[in-house]
Amino acid sequence: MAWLRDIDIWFADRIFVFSDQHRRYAIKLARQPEEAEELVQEAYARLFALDDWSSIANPHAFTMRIIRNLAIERFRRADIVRLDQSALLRAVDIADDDPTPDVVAMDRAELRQVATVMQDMPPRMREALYLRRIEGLPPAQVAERMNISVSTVETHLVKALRLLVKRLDRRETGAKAEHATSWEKKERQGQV
Amino acid sequence: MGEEGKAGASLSDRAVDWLVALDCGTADRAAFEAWRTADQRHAAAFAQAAATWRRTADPRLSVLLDQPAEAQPPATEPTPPPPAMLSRRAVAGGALAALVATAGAGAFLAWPRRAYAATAVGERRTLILPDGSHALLNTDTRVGWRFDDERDFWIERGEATLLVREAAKPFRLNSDPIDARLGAGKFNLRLEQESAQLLVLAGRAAAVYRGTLARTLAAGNALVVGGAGAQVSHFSPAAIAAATAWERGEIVFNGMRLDRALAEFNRYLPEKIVLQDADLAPTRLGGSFRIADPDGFLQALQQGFDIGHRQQGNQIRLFRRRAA
Repeated sequence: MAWLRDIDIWFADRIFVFSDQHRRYAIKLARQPEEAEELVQEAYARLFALDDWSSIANPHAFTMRIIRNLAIERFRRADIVRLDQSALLRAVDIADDDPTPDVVAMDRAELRQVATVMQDMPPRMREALYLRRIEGLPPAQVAERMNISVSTVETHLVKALRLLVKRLDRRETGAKAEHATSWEKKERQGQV
Repeated sequence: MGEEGKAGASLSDRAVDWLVALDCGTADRAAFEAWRTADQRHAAAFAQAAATWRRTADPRLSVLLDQPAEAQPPATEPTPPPPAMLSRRAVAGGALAALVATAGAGAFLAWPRRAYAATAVGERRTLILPDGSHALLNTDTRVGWRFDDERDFWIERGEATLLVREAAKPFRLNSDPIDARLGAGKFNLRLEQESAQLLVLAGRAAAVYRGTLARTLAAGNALVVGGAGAQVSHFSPAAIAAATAWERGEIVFNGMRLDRALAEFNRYLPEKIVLQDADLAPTRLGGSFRIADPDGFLQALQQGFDIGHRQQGNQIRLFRRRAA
């Protein structure tokens, strides 16, 4: 997988695992899902412009701050987008020196989400994804097992991954709101 | 890959196209690198697709994908033929083959010979069978299957849960001592040294014990074979949850004796836990534990029952801790 760069792995391990929190925070700020998604995507894009990404102690906190700064920029052009002023004004105490673990394993709820999306897929699509990813068969062998061409396998995989990306992005952001994250606790303590 | 022609597609969709093309070895690497470096948004979209892609290879998924709540419910529950048709002789003689409707057949991949799969001690594995049915193998299990004119599945040792898909061809489960004809649904078969049990979790099964006792089993019922012969038992929801806990990587003790509980846990452990003090055996245990975390189990014994443990050779020995 030479096409994966170090920054891609860093992103997956240290930022994407918190994508739920990034979306939830962005929604708190922007109120509207489309604008929130723009904030998150813009913040992620900015990470890929960094030269010194590997020296960031807490990439998650760093990302949260980018989201906030982007929201403030938008707020200053207030007639363009609607942002929640009260959420913006709240002090955000992000502990930059509190490093995140190098790798955060996908938690059980997220794992279930992936499983649910896979379970809902059309059977042939799921089978292709299963054989390629969980059984780890090379594409040619997947094609052989399913009695289809490699390009059909590719089509199945493209549709499967598109579906996963869409469904996982739009998952219920309130699902995990019950248990406050350490980041949110810090935020609250900063308030008191 | 024609990504230029997909101007309307979202950035995320294009990132997925690239990623899968790279994975399948059909991408133009130089064109990909040009796309990725053209815009940070491209790089970010690709990294998100790659991170999601990585999630699909999580080994824990193979277990989750067979969760009953997420399983595809069978569209209909065809009633299996009356048990009388399922005498052992008939199965052995292939007489059932005559009953198979050939219309609509041909959708199956040819499996000319029997295929096999096995798990090691402590391993679990999900198989997707040629008809799309799933077989989830528990620890130390060996199975075989052949799907041609019929769907035949053998469990030679261990334990497996079958998620059987609706199809015109009958699905036959073969083992010593239980054979069964399964409708669409979910079934668990567990073989032990002296006993065996076929539990119907969803759907219906026509089950035969050593060619003599034939029973039709509905969901919640099990054919239990032990020293006292074979009988049909009804499983409570709690008993079903305990019997299928392994599919979620868990082991559940509902007031089970310690010696029996150890036998359960030891199925998954290369290094067995044994009782050094035999009088500990009747201790009753409750609670659920992670199969992958025997240390947590040992700690609970220590905290809850004051039962200590020590490693000796390739065994873990349990003893009663004396008050100092």
